[in-house]
Amino acid sequence: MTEGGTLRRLETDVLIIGGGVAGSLAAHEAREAGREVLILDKAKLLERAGSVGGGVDQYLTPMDSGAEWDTPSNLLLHIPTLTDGLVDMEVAARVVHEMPEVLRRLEGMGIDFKDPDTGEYLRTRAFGLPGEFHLNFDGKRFKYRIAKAVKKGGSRFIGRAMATDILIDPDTGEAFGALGFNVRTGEWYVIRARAVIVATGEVNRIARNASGLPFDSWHYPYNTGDGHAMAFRVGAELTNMEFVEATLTPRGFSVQGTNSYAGLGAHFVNRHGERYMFKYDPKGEKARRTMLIEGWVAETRAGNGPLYIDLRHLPDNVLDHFERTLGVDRETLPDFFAQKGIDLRRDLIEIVVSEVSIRRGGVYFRGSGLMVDPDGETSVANLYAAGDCSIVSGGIAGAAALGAVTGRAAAARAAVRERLPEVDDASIESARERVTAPLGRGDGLGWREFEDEIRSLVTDHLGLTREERGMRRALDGLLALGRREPELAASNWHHLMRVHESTSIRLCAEILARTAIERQESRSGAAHRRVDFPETSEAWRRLIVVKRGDDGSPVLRHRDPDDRTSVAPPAALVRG
Amino acid sequence: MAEPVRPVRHEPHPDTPRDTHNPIDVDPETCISCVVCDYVCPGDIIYAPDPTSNDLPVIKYPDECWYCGLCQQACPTDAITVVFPERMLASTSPVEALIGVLPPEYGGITVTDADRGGAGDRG
Repeated sequence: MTEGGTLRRLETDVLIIGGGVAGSLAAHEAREAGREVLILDKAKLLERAGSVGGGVDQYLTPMDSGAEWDTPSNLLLHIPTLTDGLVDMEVAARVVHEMPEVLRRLEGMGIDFKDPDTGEYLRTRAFGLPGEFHLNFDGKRFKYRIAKAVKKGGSRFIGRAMATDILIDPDTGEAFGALGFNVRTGEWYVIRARAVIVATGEVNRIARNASGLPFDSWHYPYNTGDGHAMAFRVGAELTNMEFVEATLTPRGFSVQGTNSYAGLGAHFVNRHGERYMFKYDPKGEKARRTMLIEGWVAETRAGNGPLYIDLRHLPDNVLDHFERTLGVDRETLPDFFAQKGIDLRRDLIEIVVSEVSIRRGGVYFRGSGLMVDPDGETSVANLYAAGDCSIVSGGIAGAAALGAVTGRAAAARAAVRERLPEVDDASIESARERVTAPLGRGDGLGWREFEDEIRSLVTDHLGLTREERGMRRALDGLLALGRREPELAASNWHHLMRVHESTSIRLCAEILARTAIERQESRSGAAHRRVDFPETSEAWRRLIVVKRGDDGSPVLRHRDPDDRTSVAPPAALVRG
Repeated sequence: MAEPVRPVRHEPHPDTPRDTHNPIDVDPETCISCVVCDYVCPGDIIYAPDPTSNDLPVIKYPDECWYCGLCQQACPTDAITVVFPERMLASTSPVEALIGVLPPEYGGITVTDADRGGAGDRG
């Protein structure tokens, strides 16, 4: 089982690593442009690959419906505020202007965004957005239909395939493919491509939650920053990696849905029965997510917990709708309540903070990941990124839009790139030896134990409470874990996948530590809460950009979000 | 004539921590030994039996389940039930620990207007 051995050599125009919404839209556009496309994903079926393979119920987009507010330009005006200033506006503009067209493309794939009862679009306004930009819909088959269209268009798909390395032409520095292996059979893939798109999602399994089960996470636990890590290793720049995201969730099960409760008119109450959110934000339960976290943290610290969601005052028709749609985002949430013996009409639901992840720090249109230009190209030539692993993350709609943009750009690049370098056997062999080394280590360090240590360090010092000494302690711990990576052992190909996920998680946690220490302010509420620097400072409206240094460790620079040039650190940081 | 016996096989991979809860309950009465649950699982957790056999699928990596329920949703004979463990249904860990370590010299958290600022995120 652990022998593997067979090696498949493949060639394509556009190679896409990750078959979620971003990768699938990229594939669709690149095929439309006439290019050969190959998609890799760790999941077996493209129809179920990615974070919304099981369904989704909201889609954020301007629709150009004729209403004055309903345009990309109007939404764009608000993006500097939405992102607390930390976004590349040119990239955001490309994404937002693409959105209405992508919506039409998705409808062309057979996705019905209309409410089945009324036959109309059901649009809601939420959380300070300047209009009713959220489309509520039954997206149980959303990803399924996208995948069907992508396959019908002629893209090739290889499932259960984990990419491990991006191939770089030593003469030109351009990306030209990737290596990977099948997580069941150990078959090897050596893929040469004229352009490579990374669409591997955010970084999960990085912190603890109430159940203590690492795969019980709000976001998809099989997204572990593999694309961040692979691209970092070949010199791509990352940014906004200091920001974390958490949500409020029923105690014991980290799931989507906080905003459904809040949007419906749920009351958040403490153990005294007090609606506590108004103490922290005049918008009460409808404050932005990061404020809901702040409120939960403050009440819990003040000894006012447990904290609850109370739905009992809501009218029957609202509760009926709520119960009907409870399982759209996560099939099993109604089962959880049933098995726990909770009746939403009668019982309070205890809520807790979820684990944190590195995603977009709780705000739309800002991503934590690979820096890209308005075509989605990273700082490495011919290497593109889209979705939650990129600098612009706007939920599935943002992923679809930047996916489409990068798909077209990568296709155009591939069309003019004639020569592809050969991959020499010696370098394939040395990569295989490195990747498979854990298979020969018998009773070495297990990935579970290794990851548990990362989660403890991140939860204690790099999550919702940050302070310099604690963060330095965590960084030291993460560096010590890094030195132990050569001890990691795997007993089969499946575990080898987990081992490599664990090393991606550790690298992202190290980058998180370094950048969170660097940012000497607080910004975006719970996303970066420095108790030693509690204020938000205009001098810090700058991106911290990370790149691999000559010795392999992350090197930081500061960038003005608006003009892509490097800037000097604020005075307080200039030491010695 | 009696149906052949189809034992439910809890055979997690030997590296799985002991006493790991099995999240995916397969009904031996209704499972038709197809491959759908294996194929839809995004975490490579469920291993279908040899299609020529009459065996039940094996939940090989039970501790890596996301509790997404794709298997339960896709099973053509409704033979799968996702079963939550006690650790999730009756979580008792101190949730204060999830907030992180606050050094004693810092009394609490200061919320500023900037925090309330932009717009949030749904999902």
